Amino acid sequence: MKKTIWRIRLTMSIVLLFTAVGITTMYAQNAITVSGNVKSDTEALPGVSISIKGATTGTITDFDGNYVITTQPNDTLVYNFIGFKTVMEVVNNRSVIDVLLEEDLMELDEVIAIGYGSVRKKDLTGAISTVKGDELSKRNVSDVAQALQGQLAGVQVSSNGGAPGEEAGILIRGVATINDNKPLYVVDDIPLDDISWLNPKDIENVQVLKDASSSAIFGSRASNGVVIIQTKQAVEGKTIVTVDATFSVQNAAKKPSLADATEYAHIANKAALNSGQDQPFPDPESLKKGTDWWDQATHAAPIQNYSVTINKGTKDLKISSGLSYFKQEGVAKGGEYERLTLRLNTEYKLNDWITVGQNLNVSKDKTQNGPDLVWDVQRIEPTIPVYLPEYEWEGKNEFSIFQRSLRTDVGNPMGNLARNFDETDYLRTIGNLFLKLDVGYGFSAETKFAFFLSLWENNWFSPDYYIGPTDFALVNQVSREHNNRTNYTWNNLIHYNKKIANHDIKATAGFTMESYEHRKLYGYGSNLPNNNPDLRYLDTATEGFLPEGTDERNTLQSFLARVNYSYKDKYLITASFRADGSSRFAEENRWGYFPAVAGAWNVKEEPFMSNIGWMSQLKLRGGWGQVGNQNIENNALLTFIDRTIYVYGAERNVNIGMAPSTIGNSDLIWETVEDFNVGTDLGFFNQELTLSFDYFEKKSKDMLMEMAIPFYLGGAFNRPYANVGTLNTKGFEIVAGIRKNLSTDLKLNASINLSQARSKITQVAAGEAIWSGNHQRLNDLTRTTEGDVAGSFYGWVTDGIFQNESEVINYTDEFGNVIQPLAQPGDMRFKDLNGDGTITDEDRKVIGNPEPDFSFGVNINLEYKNFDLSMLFNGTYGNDVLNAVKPYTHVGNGGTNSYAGLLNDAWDGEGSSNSQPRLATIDGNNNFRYSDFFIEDGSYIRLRSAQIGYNLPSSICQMIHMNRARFFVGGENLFTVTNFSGLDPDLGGSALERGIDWGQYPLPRIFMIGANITF
Amino acid sequence: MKKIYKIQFIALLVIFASLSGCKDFLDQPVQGSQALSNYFSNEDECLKALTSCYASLSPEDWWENDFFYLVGDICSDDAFKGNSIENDQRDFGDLARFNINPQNEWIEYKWRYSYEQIYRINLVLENVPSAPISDALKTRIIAEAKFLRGFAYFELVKNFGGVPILLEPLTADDPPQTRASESDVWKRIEEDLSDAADELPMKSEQDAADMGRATKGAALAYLVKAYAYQSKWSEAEPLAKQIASTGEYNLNDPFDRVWSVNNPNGNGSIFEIQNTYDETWDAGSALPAVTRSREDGGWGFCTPSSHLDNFMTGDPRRNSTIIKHGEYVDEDHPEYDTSLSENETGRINRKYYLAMNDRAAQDEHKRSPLNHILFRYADLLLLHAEAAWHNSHESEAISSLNAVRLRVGLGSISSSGEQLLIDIYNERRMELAMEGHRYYDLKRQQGISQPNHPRIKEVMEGFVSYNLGSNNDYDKGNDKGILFDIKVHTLLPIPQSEIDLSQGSISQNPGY
Repeated sequence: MKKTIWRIRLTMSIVLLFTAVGITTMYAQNAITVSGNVKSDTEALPGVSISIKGATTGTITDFDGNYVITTQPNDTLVYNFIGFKTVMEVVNNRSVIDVLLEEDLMELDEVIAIGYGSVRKKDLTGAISTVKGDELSKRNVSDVAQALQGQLAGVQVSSNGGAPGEEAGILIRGVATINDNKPLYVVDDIPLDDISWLNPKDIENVQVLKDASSSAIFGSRASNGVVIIQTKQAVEGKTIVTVDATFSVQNAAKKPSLADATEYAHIANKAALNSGQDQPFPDPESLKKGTDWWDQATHAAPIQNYSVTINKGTKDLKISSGLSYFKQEGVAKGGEYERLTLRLNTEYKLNDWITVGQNLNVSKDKTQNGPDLVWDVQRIEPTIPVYLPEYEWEGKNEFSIFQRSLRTDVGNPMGNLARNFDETDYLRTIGNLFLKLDVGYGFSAETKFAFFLSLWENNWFSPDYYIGPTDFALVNQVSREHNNRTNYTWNNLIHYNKKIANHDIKATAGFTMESYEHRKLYGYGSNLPNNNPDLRYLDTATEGFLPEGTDERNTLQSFLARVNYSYKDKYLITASFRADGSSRFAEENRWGYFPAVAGAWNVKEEPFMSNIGWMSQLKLRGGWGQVGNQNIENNALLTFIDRTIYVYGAERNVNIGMAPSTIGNSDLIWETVEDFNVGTDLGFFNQELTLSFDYFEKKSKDMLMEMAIPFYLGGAFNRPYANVGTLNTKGFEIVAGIRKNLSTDLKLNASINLSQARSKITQVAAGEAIWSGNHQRLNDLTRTTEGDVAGSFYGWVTDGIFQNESEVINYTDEFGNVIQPLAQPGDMRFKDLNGDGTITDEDRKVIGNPEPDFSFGVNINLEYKNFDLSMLFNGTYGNDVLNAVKPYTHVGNGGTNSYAGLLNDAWDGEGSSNSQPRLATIDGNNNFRYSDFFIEDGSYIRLRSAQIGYNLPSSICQMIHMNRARFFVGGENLFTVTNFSGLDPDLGGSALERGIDWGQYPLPRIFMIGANITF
Repeated sequence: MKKIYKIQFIALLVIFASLSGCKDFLDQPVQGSQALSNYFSNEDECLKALTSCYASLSPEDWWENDFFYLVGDICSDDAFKGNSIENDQRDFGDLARFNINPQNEWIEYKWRYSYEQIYRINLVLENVPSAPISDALKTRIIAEAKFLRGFAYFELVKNFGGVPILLEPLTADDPPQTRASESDVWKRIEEDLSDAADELPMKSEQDAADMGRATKGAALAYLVKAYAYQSKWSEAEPLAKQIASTGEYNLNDPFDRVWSVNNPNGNGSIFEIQNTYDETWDAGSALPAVTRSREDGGWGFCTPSSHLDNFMTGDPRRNSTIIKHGEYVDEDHPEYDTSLSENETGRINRKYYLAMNDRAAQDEHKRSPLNHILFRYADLLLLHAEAAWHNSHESEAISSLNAVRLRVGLGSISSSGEQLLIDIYNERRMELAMEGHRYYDLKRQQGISQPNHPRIKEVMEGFVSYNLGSNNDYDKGNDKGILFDIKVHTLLPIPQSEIDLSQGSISQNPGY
């Protein structure tokens, strides 16, 4: 090893020497001076880089677009400016060269990162979507996933509510497995599973590899798609300082409509009356509105978002650094997220063939984990005050002065809030160091070593308090947890790029090593001297001590190779192969092999198309590949044992026992997803109109899942991992765009994307049905079984309401058996699907599908003179949502609160309602069993984001020494059109529990004002 | 120049190649967990494995096993589901109403945790014989494990009838099991209990530190009970007598001290689940918390019926069995609030009631210190009385019956014939009320007025007609029991998921 390093050093020195000699010789010729002006069709262009082809020198234009450069009489000057077509001019002894740069609408020469390399957009063979950082930075959100919402076809993002610091869920092309469907993130070439540290404003662009032919290069972790993120780098020849500042105020986009105290009391009275009981509220009107728990628990909350970026690029050195600060308070009280990010990316060219550089990102964030108020405030009765009357406060601590709920088992939400002390701190350091060698003859090599260090600390405290017999804690408790993650990645790549006549070859081969370590330490203690903030530490606890701690480790070693070949830019072939070895599998099953192949035909390049001027692009693509999934616990192979507890002896001593806590399966192999994709890209009128279409089919086999085994084997709730299920997903994506200057002042850039992904389980372990989703009032919310969509809602089917006694009696099976003998008029009629004369579990069926027919996004950007307007809509169509709040708000039994209007809506005599059953405390018919009553249409369209900006005219900018200044006002989640009755139909969830509204965090409606200034 | 590049290139290749040589990079053993495959290597490990077999009697959380012990009461005329909040543990209410389906979660938990215990026991029985420990310890561990296996199959057979018999740890790769016949399960229970009894020490011979472990008396007592469940009266009677004659057990504890945190493993205790309050571990019982009134911080399940209360009117044991709404309980509860709006019967079970000072400071639903008595001497005496009656040894029967009555100050009974049997049954109901036995007793006993059916039929019919008729108490009009079907409900259904998972090799009980 030492020898090798020595050799490299030697060769480097030698090459440096040669280079120096070469440069010296160059300067021996006669130089001339060239000057000129560079402009676009509308204005002078400052900052255009001008370089001499084949040399290392260059310059940039000043504010008026003027430049001066020293060159040789026969040199070629290259004029390069982002967003414009590159122009080359042979000097030819001219001393003045003025250049008009044409805006590059084609974007086909744009370079796309494809993992361990990049290609021009027009050479793509797979299904890859891209979005620029500029688009993302318009959103005022903390995480990248949320910023991607609605931007890309086939990428469905669910906000998971709007709690501060909450990560959004990403689903690429639907579910690929019933396990975790989180995609792999690759930030600056480093695979990661956590990108919450990343400030969306630091992103240059995002590429989403959707099909296996593109993602197979990432092998075993690519089965859910790959999101490649590149952070901002400096551009050669420019110094740019950007300051961004946004201030926003959020409110809940929708307030639930809940009964006030008077209506609540009327409902409770009527329910009691209908069940032959005494009415609890003698005078409902006197209660007036009562407590509005929603107003108590929510407030207008600010978001602050500031960032500074400094980019400086010269021929040899590129530096990009930045500092950003984000703080969001929750719309529901008690939650808060704060993040400070520091970034430094450098790239330094040591000489013409060696480049070194590093990326470093340090991020510190703090989350106050708020209590789950939204769920509680919708259930607790409005007839009680928040606090006890003050004369009862004496002798109670500050956590005990709350009124207890008298008619529900819901703890006082404001009491919950008062004693919520739960804070998580993160410190993440993510960085890498790289060395790139341009070896010559088309060969280059790079090595990159990266680390991800994350320190996570949680502090939790729960005071002692007594609110009521079901809402108390006699001792106070404290805990602290540390999680320490250390990931290392080492990528080593060799590239070969060669163009020989019509043949263009790009090849990459590489070797990577990754290691992951997670250390945990947890401590718990109880019975602290008091609830004083200064004493909320483990050191003051007097009993109940419980420490926990362990390490988790896994490693991955991979070989990869890829060849891109194109002939005359017309016929393109990509083939890739990756071999992954994972420590999670037994030695004989350790290696997984993931091949892929794809082809494309640029039909437009054919001679027969050259006459068709209106068509600017016609490309057909097709690909096939296999990717894998190793998403199992590190300990899946063996059976491990854990502690149990039993007491023996006159002294009543606690004894530790040991018993199996897992069931190992040493035969596990990789889950494989096989996928094929066909697509076409069309462009018209010089790419003013573009249209892409993709169709895909994915087959997941040997799906790694925890297999249910017969209970008699003694596993209780332990399940072994096994390669059992198969799942098919099919779908399509359409993206249409228009980019047109409607007049000299008015420019339009708009796109719409539409996608569908439909899953179907083709095999599960032992033909079993997998039930999932448990709720205090409804069980087994979804069923996943062969032939169905993963996570189908499964329950009884309602058939209106019995309007009178004779309808009950006449609802019989073929033999005259009354099907619902316990029903009364006003009760729900359920369908006896199996016709056995009674309503049983067998009368359930699939009552809802959480997968949308399609999801979509619409992006509209308009520029008029110095004004710009951008709007982003997104939504889904045709998916069902389970409203799991309804079992409280719609049952009308006088316990938990109801929605406003239930009193009038509920059945109350013949013909009064055919959907909302009578109010009753005793419900012998079980009206609110899990039925389609709780299933709603989850379709929606939402104005996700809108912004109006104003750019200061460049004349003013120059006066105040700014390059560009933009001021804007905007909003997020400004309106939503939906039939869903809950707060927000945009629900995420795991593959088996999608589209369930558990009373999720209210979506914030955000109004913002901000500025973006470039120096 | 050319040459130099080549050297570089080769150098790089060498780096690559040398890296790929790091073969053990991919060997990452699991940290912080012991693998089962290396276990049973010393005394301590063997004893810990055995402890986990006991732990299965009452796993840590309330729902895992403790709650199901209440089924013996709620599926009888002694108690109702209790908590009248319809959606609070609906499946538990369905059990109480005999609206029982194979998806009922409580049935599944019972099945799962019984077989988990059997798996743990089978691991011990498979590994301990070859472990490097002394023969004496081996014998003791094996005997205790066999007692527990007998107990586990007992719990299964009394609820489900015939079940798969597993005598060694199996895996998913083994062929699917089928249900053994009920009599084969009983045979297995008898064998395990007899084997255990041969080796276990008597209670009096036990070290103080071992109190709570299985004893010879416990193994034999369960054997008596197994005989009784099979109506093997000629075997049950002498064995019961034999246990009584050892003098290991007596009725010297006053009745109101039988269920007391201050009297664990008392004079009459044959086998009980050991519970204590621990600040760290969930080492306690769930029963005090889940049965107490909701107004008193409990959950309000399994509340005694007015039928039982009336039946015990005037009986000295009544006040140690039932707390009725408004009654004086202790200084903290001078007029007990049963939370009437949430309580089906306006009563709670006194036997599991803990005074304020005895309650767990936190997590009461898994840390209550009250031992759960599974088998006590009075139960054995009454089984003996029953067996003796069946063997036409009436005087023996009367003697055991009166021993139980004497303790609580009741006069002697001198009835005979069928009336004596009824008296034994009645005594049993009162003595063991709300201890989780009633449903199982009624199933194994033969009817009096309907001798061709298990006695539970006539009892439930009487119960329903009382509640829908003359009952004028808090539980009036409750039609619990109306769905009881003697053709179905003497056994619980096999969990539906077990039938599905076994791919049909496990069959369902009739009527489900």
